[in-house]
Amino acid sequence: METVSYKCINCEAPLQYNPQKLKFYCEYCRSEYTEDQLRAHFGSLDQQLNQQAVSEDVAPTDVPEGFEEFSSNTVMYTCQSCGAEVITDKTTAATFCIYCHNPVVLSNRLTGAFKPDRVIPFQIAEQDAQDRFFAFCAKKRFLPKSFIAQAELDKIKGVYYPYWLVDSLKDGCLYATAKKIRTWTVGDEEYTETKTYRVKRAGKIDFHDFPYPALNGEHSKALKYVNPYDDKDFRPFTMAYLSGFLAEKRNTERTDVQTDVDKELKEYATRIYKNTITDYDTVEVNSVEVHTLQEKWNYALMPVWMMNFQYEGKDYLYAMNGQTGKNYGELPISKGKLAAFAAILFVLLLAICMLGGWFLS
Amino acid sequence: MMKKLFQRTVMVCGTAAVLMAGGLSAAAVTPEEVPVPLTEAAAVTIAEEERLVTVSVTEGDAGYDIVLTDTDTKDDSQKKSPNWGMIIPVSLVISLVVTGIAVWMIYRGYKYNGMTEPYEFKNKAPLDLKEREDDLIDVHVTSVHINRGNDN
Repeated sequence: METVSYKCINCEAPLQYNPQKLKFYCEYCRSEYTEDQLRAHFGSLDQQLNQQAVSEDVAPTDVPEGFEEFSSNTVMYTCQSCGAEVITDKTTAATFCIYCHNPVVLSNRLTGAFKPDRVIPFQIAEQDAQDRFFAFCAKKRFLPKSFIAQAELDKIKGVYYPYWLVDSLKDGCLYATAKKIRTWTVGDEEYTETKTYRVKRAGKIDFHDFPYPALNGEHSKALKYVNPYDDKDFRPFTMAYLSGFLAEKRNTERTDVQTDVDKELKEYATRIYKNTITDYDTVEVNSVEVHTLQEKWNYALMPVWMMNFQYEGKDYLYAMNGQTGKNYGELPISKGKLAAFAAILFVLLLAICMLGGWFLS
Repeated sequence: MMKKLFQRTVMVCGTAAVLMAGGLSAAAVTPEEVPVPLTEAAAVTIAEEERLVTVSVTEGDAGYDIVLTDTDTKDDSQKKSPNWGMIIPVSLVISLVVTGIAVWMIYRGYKYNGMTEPYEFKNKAPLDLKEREDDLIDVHVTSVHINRGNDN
């Protein structure tokens, strides 16, 4: 397994990407480098690796005896810094050596067909992510007190996750039945006039950068709802951005997710057509037809801060968009606080209702 | 010193508790209702004093029924006690339902925190509308007779 470890040009210590400064820095000699400086230094290495077009399935020939049972899902690499042998799972593309904490990019996972077209570098640093998370928790009144303790948050990790970005030009039409309802009164008679319309809307919709998680697994829902990302920070992919973070490579092909993407785009198309049907009291969609004129799929890595917690024996996963800070995840709820709130609300409502009843009777 | 303070506090609290309990018990006791021996002459006196209502007194099963009639609107309304048999169950149901909805919404908010629109289709998916048809296919008019309340 080939690995890339971006070393400081000055002292050869590991380099890491700093989201706050948007620069690469060396925590030993405190040197800082821009993307252009690194590209000038490491660019040839990236190009060389990309030209190899390594096959998707890296044969785990380097897995020693005793690891056969994991061989389909694990690969071993040798840390260039300390020489330790480290095992990663099949989709890991960037990680740390668990012994010397040296950031390592597994270059074979990100070359050839698996080379991402674009990347959004982390914009939120780890400390900032934690601060935002605790500020968010402080507003949540039903969180258990023990959950908010700093000690609980020891598993925060910055991960670049793979996404398909779909540009799709669709042509289609929507048929609907819409109604206008008018009511007026003459004497003791109330009249209601219902006008029924057959409505058709047809046109082209140009979907741009529709994101779909390219990693199947337990995190796919979190990966969906940390979106949207802002296009302005898209950069051409270079492995240097992964240094100091974890990264996953995609484990789906376009054909695996095409049906799901088409289904979601059809739902969006329905909403877009429906939004043009105004001035009616009710709109009932009868049918929608959509077909694809052009489609282009891009592969990109997006930054996500992943936080794992345990509360009362249950695992909780919380994801934060590494660019915008948008959150998604399940939070534990304090049953005691919720019960107390429910009891107080119930008593208050009961008192108000009974007083209201007394005044009205 | 502390012991003395504690004893006095207990005494004050105890006295307050006894007084409160007594007050509550007294309030809870409904005095026996005594029919008022209101005569026709008394009703006329009240009507003259108030100049707003006329009072008619009839002998009922458990005493006297007093009917007040508004001199302007001729509206008569009988004084009634609140129907607690209806108010309490309705209040319980309303409180229970609203509390249940509130708890469910809070629970869902924690379970699916941040489940918002993942794709900004309004900005990223422009529509080039080629065809727009709105054909009227049916007009239907219905009427309902309004039952107006009788003012007399």
